[in-house]
Amino acid sequence: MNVLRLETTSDPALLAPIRRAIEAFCESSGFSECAVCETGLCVNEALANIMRHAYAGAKNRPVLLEANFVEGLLQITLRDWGNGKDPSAAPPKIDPLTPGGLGLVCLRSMMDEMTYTPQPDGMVLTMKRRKK
Amino acid sequence: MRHSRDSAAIGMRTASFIITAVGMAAMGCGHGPRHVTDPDPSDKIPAIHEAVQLNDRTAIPQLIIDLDSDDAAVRLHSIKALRALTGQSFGYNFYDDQERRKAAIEKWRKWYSRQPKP
Repeated sequence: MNVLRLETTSDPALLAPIRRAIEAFCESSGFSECAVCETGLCVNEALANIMRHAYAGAKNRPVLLEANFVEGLLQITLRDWGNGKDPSAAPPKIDPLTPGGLGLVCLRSMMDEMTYTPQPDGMVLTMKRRKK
Repeated sequence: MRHSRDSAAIGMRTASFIITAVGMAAMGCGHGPRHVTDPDPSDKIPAIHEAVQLNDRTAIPQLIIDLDSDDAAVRLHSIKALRALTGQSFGYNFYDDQERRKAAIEKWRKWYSRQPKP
């Protein structure tokens, strides 16, 4: 079992290092180069959505990223303590040229499963991807 | 002679600028003095960062209190500061539920009560 936990904040400057961390995690779990890049992009987009929408641009709010890889299944959860709004309920906006612009379209097409679970004080996004 | 007087004046102006700049940096660049006891997270969190930068261990009691904050951001920044200042964590996770946090906070309190006081 491979596990990664990152206690981080909603600072956009952290997007790149977090993306690199999740890509390294996927690589060490034996995912293909394509799957590694796609998963990194999805985490990047999901985090950008949290920063922009759940936290309205505030940079010092908490984000907890947990990833585990068990029996061929990668599961990534992103916990925020933001406004608790379910982004999947909002009308789609697609702008592939800005971080977060691919948002849910990207997540849905590249991950096998994606679920938003509202919490009393925020939101949990769970993404799953099976190793082919 | 005039040259050395000019040099002295420039030196004084430079020193004055440096003192002002250092003072402003310590106060948070234009903000009033911040303190970790400030109830407003937008002041408290920068104050927590300043306490870590200055290795200000007098902030520790307030940081321990803030491990029980309702605000997850305050909890996160407080435990990061405590780890930086003390090298300890006592099993505390900012994202744990209140019951689990309580046990770890108790360990922090016991640890602090055993520390030599100034």
